[in-house]
Amino acid sequence: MMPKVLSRQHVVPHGKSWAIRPEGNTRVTAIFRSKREAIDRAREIAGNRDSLVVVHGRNGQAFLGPAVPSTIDRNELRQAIRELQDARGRQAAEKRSK
Amino acid sequence: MADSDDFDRCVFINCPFDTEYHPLFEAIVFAVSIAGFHPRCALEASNSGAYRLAKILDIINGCRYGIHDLSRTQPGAYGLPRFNMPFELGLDIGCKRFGSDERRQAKSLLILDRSRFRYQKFLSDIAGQDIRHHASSPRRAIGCVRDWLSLESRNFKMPGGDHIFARYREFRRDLPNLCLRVRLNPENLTFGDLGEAIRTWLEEYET
Repeated sequence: MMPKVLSRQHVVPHGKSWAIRPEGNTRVTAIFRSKREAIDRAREIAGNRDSLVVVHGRNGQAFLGPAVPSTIDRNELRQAIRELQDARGRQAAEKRSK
Repeated sequence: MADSDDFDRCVFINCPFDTEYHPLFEAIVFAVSIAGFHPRCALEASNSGAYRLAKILDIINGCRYGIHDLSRTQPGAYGLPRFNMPFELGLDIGCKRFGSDERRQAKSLLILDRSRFRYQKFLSDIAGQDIRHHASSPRRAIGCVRDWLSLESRNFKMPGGDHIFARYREFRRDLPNLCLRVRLNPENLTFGDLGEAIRTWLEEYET
């Protein structure tokens, strides 16, 4: 049996939400409240292969990487970015509640 | 990584790689990335094992856009400037002029210097090209790159220079913490690592 060929998954803005649109499709296949959820689901669909996930910005632009390999573990980096974001969110919420 | 068919999304950054220039380099890589383009530069040739000039020619041939910063063209330790930047600008102009197809001939080049008209003293032949000055300020360099890319790629929805600079400062604030987590030195990132850090950071923000 031939192995299943995975298509690239695009994480795109969808009104105030975020959605997944497989490459070559005009329609989105799933809609999420947060960009983080959309990225995680797109990575699952792409078999956790980062090269098969293209994340876009609010203006529709795709964020493209460098043309040379990196030594960074992207999973670890992504997790660190999210933890920083969450910590800042908590700090901001505490400030508002004071 | 950039594919060979990414010509229209690739930007060649021809600039110095010394410590003093590094904040400008990082700001330009960030501006190119947030605008949705692949940053490329001669650092890709550092570890390739290929003949350096051949690799640089390949990069120039693979990029629709070129940013050439001549701001460090000045007498150095031996009383002579480093000629790499003006030389690679000449190669890119040659590729545009004598390119093998219409895409190469439609290449767009941005020339940066630190002050207006300084280039006339050492490279007057480039008069009439798109030349802007950044006064050695990352904020101004980002504005120059953003305005030029927006115009040349006809993308008028691109965030403005001030927005990009604010994002760049946030990224700079986060970078030491992030590098600590992935056990890298933020002052000594390879070009691949810097590009990947910028890309992943941008992906996680709704920019």
